[in-house]
Amino acid sequence: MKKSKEIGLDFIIDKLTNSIENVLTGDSFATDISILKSSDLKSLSKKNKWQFNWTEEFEQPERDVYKLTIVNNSTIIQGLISLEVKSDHVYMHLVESAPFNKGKTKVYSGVPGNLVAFACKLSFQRGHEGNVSFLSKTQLVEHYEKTLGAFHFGGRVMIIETKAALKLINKYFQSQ
Amino acid sequence: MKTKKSELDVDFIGGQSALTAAEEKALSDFFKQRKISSSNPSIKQRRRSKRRQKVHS
Repeated sequence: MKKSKEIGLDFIIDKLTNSIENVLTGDSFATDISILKSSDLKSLSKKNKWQFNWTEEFEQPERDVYKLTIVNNSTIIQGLISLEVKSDHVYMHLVESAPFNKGKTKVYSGVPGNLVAFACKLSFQRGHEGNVSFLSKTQLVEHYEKTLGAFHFGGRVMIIETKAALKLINKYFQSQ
Repeated sequence: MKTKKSELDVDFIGGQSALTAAEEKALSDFFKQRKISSSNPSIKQRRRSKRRQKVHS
């Protein structure tokens, strides 16, 4: 029997409006973050150059997948994040920028930072003081320390604590 | 003068492999400990004074 995903959100996410920047023109575009729908999955295939299997992520009952879109252009997904609210913090399973927002030829910048700040915000909303953990590749530990204020917990694990989380939220969700 | 860019510049974070049981436990212990010390500041103070005693002895 096919397992159907139950999205058991018991809180209302207020409209998260922020912006991402067009790398070429420098223009800013306001963005929304909302829960991914099953109808979105069709466009998120490896054939469409998404690196990870988002259907698998979507089907995990304990995880919630959110999409970042530009306001009034909700059909084009700019990036995705998969989160799990644990008993004491939020665990960030996966963040991926849309294929056209990757590498040197990316169209928009600010996508991953925006999504990580959202994870911190969710952690506060769930009473976990902004604490977020995630796995890092060894060579990116320093980059995450600098850009996210995360600390290296040990092995592959990194943690964003309250102070760093607040900084990220202030940076990416200034208007709220 | 050129300023150093401190913007998060990665295409993805994390992966589809799960945390190991040891990682789960270490995280759980860490947050448990953190909660205890934040809800009971006297623990922190006791630790600090212990440290001070060591220095003076």
